[in-house]
Amino acid sequence: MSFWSSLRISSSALFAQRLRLDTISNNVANAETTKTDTGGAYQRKDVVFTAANKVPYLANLMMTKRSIGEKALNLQGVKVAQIKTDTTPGEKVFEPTHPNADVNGYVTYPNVNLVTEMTNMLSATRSYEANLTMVEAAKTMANKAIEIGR
Amino acid sequence: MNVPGIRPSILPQIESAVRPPQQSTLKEVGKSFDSMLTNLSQTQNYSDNLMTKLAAGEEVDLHQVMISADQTDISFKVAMGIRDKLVDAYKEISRMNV
Repeated sequence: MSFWSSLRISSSALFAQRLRLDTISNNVANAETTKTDTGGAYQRKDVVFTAANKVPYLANLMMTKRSIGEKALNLQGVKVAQIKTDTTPGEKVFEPTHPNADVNGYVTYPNVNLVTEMTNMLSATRSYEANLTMVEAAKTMANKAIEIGR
Repeated sequence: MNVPGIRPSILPQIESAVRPPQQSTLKEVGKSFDSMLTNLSQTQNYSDNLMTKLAAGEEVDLHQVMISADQTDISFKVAMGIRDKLVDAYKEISRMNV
C-alpha cells in the first residue's frame, strides 16, 4: 500500500535521529574523559546524514513493494553515512597532579562543549518529534481513506 | 490568459502502473481477498515477532515496533472494510426477488 512508503521514509529518519542522540549521549558521558584506548583525550563524535540511495534497513518491516512515488522520485529516506570524529584540539588545563598530565603538567580535556551538545540534543529530539508527526499524518490519511467505504 | 495544468513528471509512470482491471468473476474476487488475508497474517506475524523481541529485551527500535503495530491495525481495518463490502454485496444479491 502506498501509505507504507511514508511510514518507511519516516522510520528511517527516526532511526537516524535516535542514532544521533546516541552519539550526543556518548559525547556528554565522555565530556571529562582524559584518556582513551587510542591515547589522548576523548574526541567528540558527530553523525553525518545522507539521502539513502537504496531501500533502508527497515525494508522488511513494510514488506510491500515500493510505491510509485518512491520509485519515480527515488525517495528512500535518510541514512547515517558515517560517524565522524571532531579533531579540533581540546582545552589544556594546568593540573600537574593529574595522572594524565604531560611533562609540562598540562592535561588535555575533550573538545566536548556541553552547550553545543545540549543544543544538538534538543534539535535531535525535535526532529524525532517532527518525524513522528509525519507518521501520525500518514496514519490519519490511511484511516480516513478506510472511511470512504462506510 | 493561458494557464497550463500541472503536469508532474511521474504522471506517465502512474498511468502505466495503473492498468485497467481485467474481467473478474466472483471466484477471482474471493481469491484476491484470500491473498490479502495471507498478507495480513504475515504483517501480524511480523509485528508479533517484534513485540516478542522487545519483551525479551532484544535489540529492536521502539518506533519500529509501534509502526509495525499501527501497520497491522491499518491492514486489519482495510481487510474488515473489504469484508463488509463483500458481505453487503452477497446480502444484496440474496435478497433479490426471483
